[in-house]
Amino acid sequence: MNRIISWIMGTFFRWLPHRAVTGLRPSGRPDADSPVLVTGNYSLTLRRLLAAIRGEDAWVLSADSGGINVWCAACGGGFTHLQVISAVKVSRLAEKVSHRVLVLPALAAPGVDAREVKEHTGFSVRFGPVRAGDIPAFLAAGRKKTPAMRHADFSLSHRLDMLLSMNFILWLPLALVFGIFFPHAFWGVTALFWGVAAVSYVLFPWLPGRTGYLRMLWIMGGVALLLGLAGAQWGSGPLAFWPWMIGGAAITTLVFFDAAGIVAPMASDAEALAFALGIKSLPGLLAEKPLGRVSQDPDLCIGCGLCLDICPLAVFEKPLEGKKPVTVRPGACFSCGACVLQCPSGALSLAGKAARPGG
Amino acid sequence: MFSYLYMKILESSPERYDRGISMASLGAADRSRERMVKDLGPDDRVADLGTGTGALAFLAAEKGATVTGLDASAGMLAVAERKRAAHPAGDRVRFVQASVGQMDEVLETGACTAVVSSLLFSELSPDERSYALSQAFRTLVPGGRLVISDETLPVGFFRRLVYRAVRLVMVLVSFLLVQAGTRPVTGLPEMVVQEGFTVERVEILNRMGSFFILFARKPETP
Repeated sequence: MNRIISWIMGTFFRWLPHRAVTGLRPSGRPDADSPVLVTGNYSLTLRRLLAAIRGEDAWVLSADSGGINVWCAACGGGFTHLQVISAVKVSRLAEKVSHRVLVLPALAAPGVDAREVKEHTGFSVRFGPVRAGDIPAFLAAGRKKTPAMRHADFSLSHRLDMLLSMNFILWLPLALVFGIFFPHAFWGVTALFWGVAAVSYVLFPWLPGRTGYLRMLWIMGGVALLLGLAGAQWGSGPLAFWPWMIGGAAITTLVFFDAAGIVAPMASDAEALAFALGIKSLPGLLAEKPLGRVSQDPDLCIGCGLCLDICPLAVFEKPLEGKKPVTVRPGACFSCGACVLQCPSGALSLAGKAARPGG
Repeated sequence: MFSYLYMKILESSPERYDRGISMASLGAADRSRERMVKDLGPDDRVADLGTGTGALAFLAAEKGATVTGLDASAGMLAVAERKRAAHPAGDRVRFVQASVGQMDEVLETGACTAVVSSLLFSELSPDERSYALSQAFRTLVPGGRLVISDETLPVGFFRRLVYRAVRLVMVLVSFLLVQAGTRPVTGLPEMVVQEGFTVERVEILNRMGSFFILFARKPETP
């Protein structure tokens, strides 16, 4: 029953939190030397992690992220070192393993301060791969990451995974309104909605435009063009289906409300919009933070390379052996703040005065 | 990243928490608090685990006890602090933001004569329950009291059926109105014994048999 609910929540209602029981779980037959993999308690995350490491002997420690996925919760302040410290102590992990190393998802780096974890629990933190599927290879390679394991690539399969789960909850109210009040338009609106959503999510990386909202205009134009052609062919003229053109624009706006923040390594348009409207922090909802891109103080940098190890967008690069990492692609930064939090020498900051869409 | 916002909107609102709990438990939570603090007096040093908005902590302070209220939620404690400023016994209460995992940092060994907790254990994972009990044991003086109230599954098929039916309605209604609710905890007396306590009695507060207070004690001699 729990599995079915978890599947329904993970498939159709991914915008809603769904909690799994926190605590230490064995995968395979772990012993005192087995690796400890830490994650949140979003039921889908836990299910996928356990599936990805089937066959590995490891401990899985689920900390309380409020039933929200690791990346969102880490960026939003719901998955921090406090939850990890609590999970380590409460599970009495120190009595169960002989080593003192935790492997955390790389995407927990914006929230979990590794130094705090070490200070309060004695466990040091290694940030592992971005995707759970890479964990077996990561462990087999002696806990070393390939560059591909570090990057959130927002591939086609990721975008298709998001297509249903992110848009179902947007479609649902539309379906209710049209199903009850305008049943004759129900199937048309449904087809238009899912058509727009599918094309947008698949084509997103190739649409020109600096921000998600600019890219939206191409889809809007495309929908209007197709409806115009259809009107000229089968109707009384190019504007024969004008109500559908307006509906198409509205649906496209709905689909693109936060598309950039969901299917691309880009800053969230919706977050930037909220900031631009003056909503910079909502008590308990949005933490006020600079939305500028990362900048580096070369004098403070000690060349440890941690930033390069945890950046999901390959903003940093280590040019030569022994040299300091440098910011090579500042434009790729989308202000998650992971490197800023983890940098042991305080050399990094998000230099941002005001939020700009796409900034 | 922004979807975080949508998720957080569904979290319970501290301002409406007390009312929600009172509703979801059909008043049993309110009745239980009075009984829990009955034996407390001016000599008692009390820790209230999962103090929330401080309802139980203030009742204990009215008996003259000095109270430390712990809660993980900053929102809940903000409401508790507002109440404290206006409460006549408010100067005997202090609130500390701490989760179960931070009990070892907040509560000193042997610092308390009583540990009380209302509707916290049902919110905790099995690991957290056993950890919280072991920390309560550590912070209590020998002979110190442990008083826990919570919701449980009634004994007997018919009662359980009635309980589940009533609960379904109450939880739905209270969630819709105030985004707060309660859920049952089972096997707590056994766990309390396992951590070294002696269970003195378990009182059932409602006819359905779903709301209990557990009175236990840390043995005088180890």
